[in-house]
Amino acid sequence: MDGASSRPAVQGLVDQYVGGRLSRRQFVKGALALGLGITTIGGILAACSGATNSTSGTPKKGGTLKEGYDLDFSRLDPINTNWYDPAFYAVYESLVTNDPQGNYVPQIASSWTAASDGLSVTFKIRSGLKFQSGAPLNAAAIKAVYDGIADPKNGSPLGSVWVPVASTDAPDDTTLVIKLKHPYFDLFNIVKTGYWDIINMAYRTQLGDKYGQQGVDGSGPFKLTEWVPGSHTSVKRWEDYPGTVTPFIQNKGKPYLDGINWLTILDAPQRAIQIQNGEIDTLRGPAFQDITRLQADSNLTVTQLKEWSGYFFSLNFKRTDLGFNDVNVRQALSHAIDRASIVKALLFTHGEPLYGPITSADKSYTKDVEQFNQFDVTKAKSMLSAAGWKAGSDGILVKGGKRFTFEMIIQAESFNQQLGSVIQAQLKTVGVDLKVSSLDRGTFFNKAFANPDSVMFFYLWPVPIDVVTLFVNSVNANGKGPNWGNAVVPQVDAAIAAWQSAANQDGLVAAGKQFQLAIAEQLPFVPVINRDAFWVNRKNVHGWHPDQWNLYPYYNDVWLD
Amino acid sequence: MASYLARRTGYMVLILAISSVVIFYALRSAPGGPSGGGVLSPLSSQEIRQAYEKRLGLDQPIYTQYFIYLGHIATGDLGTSLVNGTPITELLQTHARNSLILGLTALLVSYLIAIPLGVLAAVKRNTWVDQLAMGGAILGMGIPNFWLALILVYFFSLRLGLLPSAGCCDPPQLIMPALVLAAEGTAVTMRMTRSSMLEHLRDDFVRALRAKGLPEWQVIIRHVLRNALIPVISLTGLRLGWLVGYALIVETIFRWPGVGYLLVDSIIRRDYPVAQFFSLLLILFVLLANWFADIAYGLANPRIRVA
Amino acid sequence: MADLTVLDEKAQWEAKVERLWTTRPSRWRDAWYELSRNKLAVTGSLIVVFFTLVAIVGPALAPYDYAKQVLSDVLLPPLSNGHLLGTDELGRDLLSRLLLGIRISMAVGLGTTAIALSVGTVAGMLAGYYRGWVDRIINGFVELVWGFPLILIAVLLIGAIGPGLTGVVIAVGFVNWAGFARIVRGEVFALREKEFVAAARALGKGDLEIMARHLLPNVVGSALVMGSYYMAIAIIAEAGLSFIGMGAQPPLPSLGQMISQGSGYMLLNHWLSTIPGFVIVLLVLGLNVLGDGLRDVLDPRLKGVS
Repeated sequence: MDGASSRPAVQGLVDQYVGGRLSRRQFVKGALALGLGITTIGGILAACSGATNSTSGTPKKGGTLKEGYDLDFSRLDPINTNWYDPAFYAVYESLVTNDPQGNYVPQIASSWTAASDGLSVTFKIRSGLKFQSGAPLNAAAIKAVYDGIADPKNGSPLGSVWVPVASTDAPDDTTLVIKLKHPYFDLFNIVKTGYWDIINMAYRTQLGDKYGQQGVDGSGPFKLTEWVPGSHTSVKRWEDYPGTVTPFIQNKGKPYLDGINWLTILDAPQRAIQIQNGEIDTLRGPAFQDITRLQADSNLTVTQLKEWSGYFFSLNFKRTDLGFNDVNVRQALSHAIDRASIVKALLFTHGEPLYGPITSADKSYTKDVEQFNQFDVTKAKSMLSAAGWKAGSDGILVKGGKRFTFEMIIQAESFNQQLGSVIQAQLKTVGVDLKVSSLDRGTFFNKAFANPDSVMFFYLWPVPIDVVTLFVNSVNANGKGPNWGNAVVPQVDAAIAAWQSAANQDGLVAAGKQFQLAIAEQLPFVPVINRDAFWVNRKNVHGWHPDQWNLYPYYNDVWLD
Repeated sequence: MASYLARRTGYMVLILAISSVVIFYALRSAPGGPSGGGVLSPLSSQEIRQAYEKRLGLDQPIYTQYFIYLGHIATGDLGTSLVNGTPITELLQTHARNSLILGLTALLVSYLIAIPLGVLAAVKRNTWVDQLAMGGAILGMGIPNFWLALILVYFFSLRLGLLPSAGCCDPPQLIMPALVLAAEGTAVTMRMTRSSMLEHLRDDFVRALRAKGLPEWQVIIRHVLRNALIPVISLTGLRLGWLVGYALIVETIFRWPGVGYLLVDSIIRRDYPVAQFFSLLLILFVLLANWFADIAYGLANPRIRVA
Repeated sequence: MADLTVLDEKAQWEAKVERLWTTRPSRWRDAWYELSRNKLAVTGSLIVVFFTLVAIVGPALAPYDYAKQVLSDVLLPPLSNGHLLGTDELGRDLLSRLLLGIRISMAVGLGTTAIALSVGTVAGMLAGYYRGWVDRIINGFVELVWGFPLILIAVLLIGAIGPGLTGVVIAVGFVNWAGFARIVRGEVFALREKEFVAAARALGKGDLEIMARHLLPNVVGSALVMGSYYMAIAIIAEAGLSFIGMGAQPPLPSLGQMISQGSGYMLLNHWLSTIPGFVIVLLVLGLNVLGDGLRDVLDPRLKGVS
């Protein structure tokens, strides 16, 4: 938790490079002069690689960016949303954000200091900020948001990651103090996410359920014009946007674009056709089968990044008759899953097997998880046999007259269905009969909370350990949160406690490793695969830089030819 | 005629009332609920979800909810979407307009192709023209519209880059959905036009007109076609139900924000107010179309009225 | 013995009724003859018979298990080694899936049509024969159902009971019976005024017997013509519902579901959706052509008219 301008010289260099004012060679020379190692420079260059291709020429004002999106839109209410969408990066800002190298940089806060005992963090808030409605955005307004998240009646499903916070105080307009129950180095990872975006709480209270549907009040560079889930979200430039102090954003003033229109395109080939045809300018999430085709199109630039996401499935600990409360049975089922083949076939190798809960790209990733969950049908069979399951006449396992059969619910979407089919077929090879039920959105989550045998789910979050804690924390079992498998594993809870009380980066990384190992071994859920993130833009789009550390790009710099 | 009209209308109201009960029950007794699809984070705890459903009155018995709903309708309050809070009156304006644009274009396309070709096939009966037209018609009846949509998108958007593959509401975006929606109707109308023409070509008055020395095209267009069109028009009324059904699929594929698209989406999300209103609207629409077809047919054909 | 004349008269009626009966087989023989001469009908029958055979024996002859995945052999094009039609996105043999898909689509088509035809014929017959309040009630239902767009009912019903073939069969059967009822009712309206019905009634035959033995054979022709059209409609409806995810559930293939799954790979391997698409078109074409042919044969009034 160092100061705001942690590495100002490097940052300046990176800004210039990203801005196209430095060549690659000049950048490397400058960076070497600053004493950075070659590997670090390489990392920075790689992180910026998506950026360099389209940042030339003088920005032009005007135009509407049309961006395709592979998911449905969630309500634009940070406190109670499914996951946040690209529009959050246009209408809201948060206290701090990440630069393309993963460092914390100012956004609403201009600087911060952590107390030496680790029990509080003091943020300096930029003065004179306003919400889009004109209401003042000061420390008190931010406190209202954080208090709202802490208040269970506002329904934030993320309460369990805010537990270490004792209180938020606003002694004056430009000072915000977050007091902690114990050291909580992870705090920054939390407040940088879209769920902690700063909104006008008074307006949220006034609109009630309609907040984020019919209106929002944030401080981002664009104002919401329309939100139609399943179809589109559109925003227009906020003419009174005061500008940004975030270092890596080039355009310090109002955005260039008149507006942005995001289109939900759930049909996979349509996403590829529309960007090739120029019906959309940019695209998140082309289907994996279409990537080669898009890469071959000279009108397009395809950016490939690691994604902080993962597919997993739960095994309900309450199904004791099937032994899901027995770690050996869970491990046996996990050994039946051939993750490498799934990555090859379904992701066209654009991803990686998950032997633990998170991707290998994470700072705290440990290779030690790879000793678990390897594909081994023989081992799976012998473990099941040791647990008392014997093959019946049709090949399905039986124990005391009980067949090994259970239901997995998935959200009705073609990739989920394929993955569900593969898991079904692979479990069958060890004599387990899986029924896959594909449910629409209105049914899926209701069933997920109604004690289902198994739930397949996909998470997406800029710091994956935080989101994974939600699915495995025992406080979220029994309908209290998304621990749908009702997993209660003391080692996992202990690791979460360690993660949430880490006092520094080293402590955080160590706790992260402990957490991964606990999950890989104990399997409160069974991790399956992680996919890469793909972004496509047409060549007439400039200043659009998806990066590794933010789920979506910022739109301040974007302009169209 | 007046009593027939009154009976027909009363009947329509009765069907609408029954349908509204059936739809209300079907939607609300279906598994799932709106808490997973709109306002709440789907990850919300059971407690928060139940509080939300209580706030919407969903904890009450369905018949109570039904009467509350009727009360609101009676005062002109159609409600708002649970998913994005838009008043249904507003949704009605935009989506009904989009659907009408698509539907009417499809009907127009279908008539412009089907009637001339149907007439031609009847006049040139048993020639290659006839066989080609009827072969095309029977193919048109056999191609599932969603598959036709895939093929058209593949050629016109991907291969040729001529037409946008989806979306609304520029004229080029209308072309493919309208063609796909029109396909089946065109085939059926063409067959109907041909057979109706053939029936009337045998009529005595046709022979008389020809004997009077009227040019053949005048006989066909002004006299035969005029009579032959009556069943074709009434067929349209009967086929509107199909058109509405196909529109659900075509609008979904082409992301054309019409009533069908909205309806499928609202059912998936359990957006009860929207789903029940627009289901009923579609049924009303089909009933009205049948009603007009009946009345028109009755007017044109006094013998029918008795039955 | 004044009753003699009565008996005589009765005998005459009986004879007439018998004569009417004896004409039936020959009429059917005529129909068969006509059918074999009618090019349309022959083509249609051949296509339908072919698909029926495929549906019956095809899956047993399939080279692979339809659900067997080989993740190292995904998306092989047609004519690949060991896979005549190639493989799908999970490395399953497309031909094997297609064979089962044809069976499922045919079964759904045939099943819904059989239900709709029997229910519709009985309902139409009762309405047409008894008229009055029976007719008003039955016809009320018919019009109620007729007013609902099929896909809308299916979407509502499947929303209620969950996606799957059961919902499709119920929804399609539920709508299509009304079509049969309308036709049969109209025919029976006309038939019941005919001499042979009056004769049968005068002989003291019961309503049930009259309907079963005298009316049914006369309406079966129209019902069969309708049947082949409605089977085509049912197959298309199932495909459409499967396409939007409401029909057959994976890993079970139906033709519509295969098109739907394959459509995601349209740009890489279009065969996954074009092959099942061609199969549906051909099957539905066969049914429609057969319907046209049957109509020419069984309903001579309309012969050559459409």
